[in-house]
Amino acid sequence: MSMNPEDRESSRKRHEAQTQLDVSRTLRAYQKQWFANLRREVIEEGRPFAISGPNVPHEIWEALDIPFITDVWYTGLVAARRQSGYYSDFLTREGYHENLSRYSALTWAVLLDEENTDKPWGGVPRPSLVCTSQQDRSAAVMAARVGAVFVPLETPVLDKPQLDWWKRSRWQWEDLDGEHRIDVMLEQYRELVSASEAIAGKKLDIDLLREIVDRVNRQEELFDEVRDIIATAPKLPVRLGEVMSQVMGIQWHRGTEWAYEQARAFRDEVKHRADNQMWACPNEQYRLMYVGQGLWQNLGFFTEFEEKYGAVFVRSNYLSIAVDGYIRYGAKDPLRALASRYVTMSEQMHIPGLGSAWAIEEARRNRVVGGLSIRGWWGGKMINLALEEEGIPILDFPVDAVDGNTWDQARISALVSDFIENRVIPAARR
Amino acid sequence: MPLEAGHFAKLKAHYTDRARAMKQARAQGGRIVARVGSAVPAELILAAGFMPVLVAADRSRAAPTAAKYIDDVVPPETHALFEAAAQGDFDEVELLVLSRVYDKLYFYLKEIYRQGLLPGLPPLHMFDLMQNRRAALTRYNEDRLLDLRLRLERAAGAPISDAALREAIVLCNRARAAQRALLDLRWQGHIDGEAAMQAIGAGYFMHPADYAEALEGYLAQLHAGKGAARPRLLLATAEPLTHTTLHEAVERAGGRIVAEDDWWGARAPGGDVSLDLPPMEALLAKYCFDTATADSYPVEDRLAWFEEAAQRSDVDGVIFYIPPSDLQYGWDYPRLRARLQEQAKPFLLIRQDASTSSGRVHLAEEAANFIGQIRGSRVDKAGAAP
Repeated sequence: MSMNPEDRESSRKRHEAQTQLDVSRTLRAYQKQWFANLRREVIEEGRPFAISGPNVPHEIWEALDIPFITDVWYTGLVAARRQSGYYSDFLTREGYHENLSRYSALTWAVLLDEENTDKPWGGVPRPSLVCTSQQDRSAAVMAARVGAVFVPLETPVLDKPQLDWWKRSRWQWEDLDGEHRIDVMLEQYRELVSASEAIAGKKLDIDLLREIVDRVNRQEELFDEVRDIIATAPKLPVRLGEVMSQVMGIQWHRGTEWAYEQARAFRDEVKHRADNQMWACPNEQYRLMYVGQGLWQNLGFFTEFEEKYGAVFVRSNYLSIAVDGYIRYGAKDPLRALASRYVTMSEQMHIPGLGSAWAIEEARRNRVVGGLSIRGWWGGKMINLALEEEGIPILDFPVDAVDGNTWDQARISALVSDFIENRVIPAARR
Repeated sequence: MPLEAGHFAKLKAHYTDRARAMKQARAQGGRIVARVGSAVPAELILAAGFMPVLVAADRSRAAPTAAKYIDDVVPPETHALFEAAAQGDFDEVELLVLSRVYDKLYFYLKEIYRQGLLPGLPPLHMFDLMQNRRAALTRYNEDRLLDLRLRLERAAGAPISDAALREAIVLCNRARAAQRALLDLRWQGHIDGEAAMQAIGAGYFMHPADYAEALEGYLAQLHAGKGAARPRLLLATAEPLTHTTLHEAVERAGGRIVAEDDWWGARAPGGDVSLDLPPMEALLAKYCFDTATADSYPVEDRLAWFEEAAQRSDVDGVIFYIPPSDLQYGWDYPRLRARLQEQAKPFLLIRQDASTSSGRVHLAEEAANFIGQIRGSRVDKAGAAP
């Protein structure tokens, strides 16, 4: 699925009409300007540039003033522009079969595709440095193709999972994550620091890094307030699509002054809307949650169910993991705090037992009566079973989070309608 | 003596009935520690007084319990291993040691046990060895190996002596030496791929002493004859070859698989564990850097092995097996394919799942066509020669 310029303008207008938050507009404007600056600095001024996976301590790059993007952020941009189908096909034509994950790889497809000039926000410059999980084979292969330095991070297996991890992550992180696991991440981060210093041409200022790590803590505290407002307000004050875009738009810049200020403006606006009973769907009847990934390829899709059923989506992993996964207090060494922040990042949402316990806690907190689980999230079945046992029906949603080739509007609309009518409404009445 | 009798028959019997040796050992009061994956040192298990047995996925078995709990995005091998646990296959085992690439299996088993749904499951130990040469990982890997040693000593109720460990290393090296001799004879055309897979794979289930004896006996019989000239093929696979389906199909179609990039076949032995180093240091070197595993670790070493094997003049073609469940290997495939194209080396890509009946039909057809093309090209070359 791809859009011509007319379709894109029409989609932009539709999106604008559905936008309820001022911060959604300021976020978009900032991101476009920031990315244009980044492209100018990298392409015209020759500054070194880095691409990272989602669970990489890019706070280090903030401290070294290295421009960077996160691959999944740009993939989200590709998906939102309805170009994921095109770039997924490009990868297939390059020989990367269609079962391989496109979640981070679409960014690389945009970079490698030299024929199509219609690229999201002008396209991705060639990086000097790439850092992702060792398990992300696509990044290693693509980094080699473009001649970038590749720093892989091996994540130690969580050998002693603790079900109530989110209660321990802020202060008890040495116990929660295990000293041996934090130690090995720390050693690898030292390698990343060396590689980054070589690119940046300067040494890491550890006091500046400490400031950045602490600023991330304070930013996530603001998100904590947002989560609390959404969970406790009588009705949903802000659409989930806007929350997800806002949270991740800020998260990819976490540690910067801009990110902190944007998070504060976000919190203020959500609070204002809740205080003044400005509801996303005044006829709210049923509160639903996302389990696992978000539907990045079509964030506005669920708005149609507000009108039809009074069904609203109130919760996704993105805001909640920002609150429960990132904060690390009491660190003497900021690099060690980062090692703990990322050593289990994302995995705690998948691992059987951990993912379920958290999802149930979140469902209760947000008073949800049903959920939707996008297929392809490992650990998803265990989470879905646990939620069903709690009386929360879950729709197993058969589309890819970002690949537009898996989208069939009529079939998917019918599927969600059927789920709401035959599972959610009866469950809510019980 | 026909190969089906004697030593080969014994090896094949253990390859086919994978619990056979374990049951025999249990009947005689033996104690079993099971390994999940090739990167768990059998030497330590032996030295602690246990019999090491690999637990292998049986994809032909229905897996209804796994289907209930495990997502499709998780490799089918994990589904099959989970099902084996659910069916009680590991109940006689004292300890189940899982290697790094089976972390998801570890998580699923641990949680289902916590829920009280697998009461017979033995204790689990995650042996998280990172197969990577980076200095940043050395200390972590040393500690993991030491942890495993301590865990085994606790299970045994006695410390592992250096003498026992050295003895176990010598024994396992003997089995590796026999496997390498088998691989040499295989390259020389003395043995088909299917038989080689059975002879190698049996080693994961038998006691190393019995295995070494049986394999050495088999090798002594192998010098008798050499097979007919057939197209010689290298097999690259995205998932562990716990079965011989591909070998059967290709060899029935007239080809011969001379090696496979897989720990169930030609990548099984690697080099010896050094006797010149302290035993723990030697084991660490062997299992970190010279043990092929289910995933692409260490990636560059794996690709280098493949490229070296593929460019041999006595390899007529390459078959890539990349079934739909693959989530990793496909990222390397275009690069490997390009290298073969540069060398004008014929290759075939199989994307269908060979564990399904339709996949097997497709495989047989594709293999026959591919082998036919190679034969045709040989005739053309012979005709074009001055």
